[in-house]
Amino acid sequence: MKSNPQFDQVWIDRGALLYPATQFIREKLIGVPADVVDDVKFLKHPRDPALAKRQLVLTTNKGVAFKPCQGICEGVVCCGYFTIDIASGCPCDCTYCILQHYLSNNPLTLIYVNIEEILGAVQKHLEANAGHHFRIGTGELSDSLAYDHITNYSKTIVPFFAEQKNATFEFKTKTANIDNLLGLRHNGRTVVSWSLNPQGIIASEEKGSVSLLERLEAAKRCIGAGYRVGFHFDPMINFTGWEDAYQGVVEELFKHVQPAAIAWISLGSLRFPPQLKNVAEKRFPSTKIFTGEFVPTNGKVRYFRPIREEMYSKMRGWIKSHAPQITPYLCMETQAVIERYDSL
Amino acid sequence: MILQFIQTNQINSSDDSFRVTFSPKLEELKNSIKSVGVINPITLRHTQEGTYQLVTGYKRFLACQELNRQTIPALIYEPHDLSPMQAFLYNLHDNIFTRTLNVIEKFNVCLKLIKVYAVSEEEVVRQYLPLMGEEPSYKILHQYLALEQLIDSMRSHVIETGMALSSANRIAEFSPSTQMSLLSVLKHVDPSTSKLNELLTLIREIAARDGTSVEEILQRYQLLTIVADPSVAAPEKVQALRQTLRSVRLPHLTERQHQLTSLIQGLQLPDSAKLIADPYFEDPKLKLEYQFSRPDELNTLITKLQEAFDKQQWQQIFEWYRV
Ligand code: SF4
Repeated sequence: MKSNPQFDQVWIDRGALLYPATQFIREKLIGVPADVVDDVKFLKHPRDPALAKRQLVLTTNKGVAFKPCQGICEGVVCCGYFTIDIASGCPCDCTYCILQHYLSNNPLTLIYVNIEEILGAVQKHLEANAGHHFRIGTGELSDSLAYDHITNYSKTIVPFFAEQKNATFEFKTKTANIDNLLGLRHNGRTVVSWSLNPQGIIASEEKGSVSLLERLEAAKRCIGAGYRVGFHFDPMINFTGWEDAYQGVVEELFKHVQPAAIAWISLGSLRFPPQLKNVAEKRFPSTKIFTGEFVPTNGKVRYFRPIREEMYSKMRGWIKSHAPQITPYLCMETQAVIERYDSL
Repeated sequence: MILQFIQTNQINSSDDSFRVTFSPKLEELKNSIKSVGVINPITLRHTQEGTYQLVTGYKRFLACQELNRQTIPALIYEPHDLSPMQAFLYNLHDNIFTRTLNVIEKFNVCLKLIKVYAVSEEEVVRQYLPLMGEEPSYKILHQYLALEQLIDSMRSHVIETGMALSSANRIAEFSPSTQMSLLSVLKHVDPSTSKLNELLTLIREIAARDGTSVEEILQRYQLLTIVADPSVAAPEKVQALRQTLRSVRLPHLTERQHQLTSLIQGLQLPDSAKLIADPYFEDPKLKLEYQFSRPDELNTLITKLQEAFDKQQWQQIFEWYRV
């Protein structure tokens, strides 16, 4: 039997059997053992998260699949983002990934096959709030495009948002899995975004993702297909030599991408719930990213404020030197830092 | 099974197949044996080779050895009457229902169950951890199993100081030579579990960040000198260690805290007045606390505050705080 690069086993929730997406994904994963189960909640998972995520569960999302970004917490300013959960789990293995902690009790990969029902709920919400413009993404519990080659969901999502008047949809990814996007009618309503970091950080801390250059090449191809693109310098890591490294990424970015094609750029520095550090250090013993100068704030651990502010202000300067019209926004920062950002 | 007095030198003292006990205290037991002898017989397993393995009663046996007693009362099982696993369980139950096992003994139990008696991790978690008063958790099991990396002298230190599993577990992550170096510092202090864990984390993170050894950290910041001073009380040594390590681990924060302290001192506020800032400088708000019971005490504060305004010191603090 030919082994699959992403999955060793597929579990199909009995309630998901009749959805077209289930059939479609099964056909894409021919050769991977598949079993039907009555209730996926009772599936036992391997204790090693790397093995657990190689088991795919096809199920339905009967809860609230469309909701305000969960990253929000007291004292932290959210950018008014909404998320759609179409999958949970990710084939990449970033050292800092919150999912290691967040999904520790449920580390199997889940793909929700009731995509039409989920988008139906989105449609209702958009219609009921016609006076409001929504920014919506799928990258909260997974990488937005990591499974697109087996789900083809982009072929449903992009045309859906092309018809919406009051929403902009964002794919947020660290992959170059964009082939499906290129021929789609998007009507300017979909933005494709990449998280960016220096290649050294990508190589050591973002296992399973594609290189910086591959991300930028993919962005270029999306621009060629008429999409606007976004970039998230998030999480920025403070290490010896970070200035040269991040300035280099900014230069590389503008070598590949014209500022006019950029919908937005965000900045965010490494932050994590205190419990994540232990989990991540056990899984990635050689990482040094948790040895920065961190302090507790608002239930998370962040770089000491002057360090964050220095990173943001320098990055903004480097970005503006290439694209004066772009002001990067801060992601998940404290009220105090956001207020001071303009005067930095 | 027969009961008989057996020569202590016939018992294979180096065979610790069923042993749970680690580093027992024998003085009281020796005194008891001196006055009334061994009341409860020990249990032995007769092997096919003709030697005797200790099943229960390690402490009684060790006490008799130290007292140079020639014989000891023993219940003797033939090999076919008592399998090795049964013998180990006899020992475990004999200990567990008479006292609380220490951290190293619980580690011994977990390790032997899994490595010697091939019990599954799942069964150890489900059945044996609760028996030893622990939560049935894989995390706890793995914390115990990790103690295999502790050197003997550190294991003894863990028992002597009643160190928590979480701290012992952190120490087990260090190499044997690093554990030796740490021991030379730790034996001078007796920090609480949270303080000890914080110190160990600070040391490990500084070493990782600077790409250097823990030994180098201990030397570079003269940590041994800090703790070895006999004129300083143990809690102060812990405090000094913590301050030194935090200033290395969090240099910008420490520097800023020092600057704030000196700016506040410059205000020369009355002794009971406290100007409090967010310890991590996230929240830009400052808080002034002052207790007074007479009008003149309030007047003193107002005068001092005003003087500081006149000298632009408040301005200076707010400007500094914004940076
Ligand atoms: S790409 Fe995103 S979701 Fe995937 S492991 Fe990395 S941080 Fe987590």
